[in-house]
Amino acid sequence: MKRPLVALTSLLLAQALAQVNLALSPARLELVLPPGGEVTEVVRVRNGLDREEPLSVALRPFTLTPKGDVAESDERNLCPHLTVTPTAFTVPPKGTAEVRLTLQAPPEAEGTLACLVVFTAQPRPTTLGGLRITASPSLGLAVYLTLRGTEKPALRAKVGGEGKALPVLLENPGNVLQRVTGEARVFDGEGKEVARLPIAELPVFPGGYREVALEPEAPLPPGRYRVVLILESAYGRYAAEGVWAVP
Amino acid sequence: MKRKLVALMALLASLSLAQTTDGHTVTVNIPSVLQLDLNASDYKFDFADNSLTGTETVNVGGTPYTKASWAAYENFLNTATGTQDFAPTSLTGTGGADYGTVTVLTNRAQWTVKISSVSGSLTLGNGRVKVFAEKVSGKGASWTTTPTPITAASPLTLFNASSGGQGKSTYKLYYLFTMDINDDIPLAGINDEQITVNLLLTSP
Repeated sequence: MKRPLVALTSLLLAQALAQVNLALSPARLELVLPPGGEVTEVVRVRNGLDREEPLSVALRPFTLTPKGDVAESDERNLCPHLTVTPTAFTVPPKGTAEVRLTLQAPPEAEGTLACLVVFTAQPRPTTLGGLRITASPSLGLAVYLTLRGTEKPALRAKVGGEGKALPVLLENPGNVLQRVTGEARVFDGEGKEVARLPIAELPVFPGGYREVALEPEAPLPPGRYRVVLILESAYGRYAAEGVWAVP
Repeated sequence: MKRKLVALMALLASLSLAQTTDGHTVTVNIPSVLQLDLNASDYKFDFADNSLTGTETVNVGGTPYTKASWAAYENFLNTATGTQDFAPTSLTGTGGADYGTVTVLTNRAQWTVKISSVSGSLTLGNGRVKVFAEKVSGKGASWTTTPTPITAASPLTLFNASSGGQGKSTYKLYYLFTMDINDDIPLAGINDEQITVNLLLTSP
């Protein structure tokens, strides 16, 4: 008798503890279409709780900041060309809901456009009195569309500087999203390789730039190092060289 | 003769099938996923609360902050010359913990949790509310080195992983409320006010 009671208590406690438990799959969409083309994608939203989760959907145009964060911007707005069905729905307890995203590639635009599809749960009813802060949790699906045949890819990389982490600056003067993968190879004064610092699928927004600081797993001894940066994206391979002064 | 021909063709067809299926097909399906788990639904600052003694504190980033209550507020009025940050009187949904817990579960290397917007307004101003995210385990790093007004930036990044963010990452989420000794509180008092903080998880 004691065990079922303990189990029931822990179940009730677990339910009381969670306000929201939502999962989005896929976590991001990157699509390529010819101007005027159309595609429909299905996104799944899973509810990990034992109760229904009403969600609403909103579209927000965005850009990426130099730190890689999402910031609202109309600069390359995909939202007017994106239709979400449904825009309000309820995910069943421990269940999954499917949402259809239809993209119509604008015939006049060029390069990569972006839109954030935001799935928002309603805040829970709160207690009364006092000053209260309640949370409204959201999941954002970043959707990128690149218009085939209009791409003008470009990337400028600068590596080196001073600090315990290696400064890297990536500029994207082109019109397409550059998602770069690669590594910085670090050599000491005698030409011996002492570290490899990886970069994985780092997005650089068209017309923007990205600043990153690559930290070695183990700190390097103070000194001056030669660094070779080798990067690859869907549009080609890029390399840069510089000097890194570790204090 | 015709039957023999059909039988021979069937035999050849089966042989052909056997040859083309001589191997294994391995199908791999790994969906990318981005999951957000949040427990606290309500942080309440009640300066009329009589259930606390005024000495209860919450440790936020190594600094103790007194929980909001009548006793604590009375002490503030007695001694303060400037401002003081208070911890919530109570939280809903945390099972008694003095902080909310946010968990990110993903197989993506990059993700960000931020306050995308704030709905509603408090009489004393939304800038009186400070937020602090503290890493417990997993990946990424907090962007709040000290308790930061929720109006400091919009959006306001709380924590993120710019690389290697895969797996489960857990952060504590604290809110504080700033009282100023120079506040001229209306005769009717300030009670039953609420703001909603919109928390957004994305993988850019």
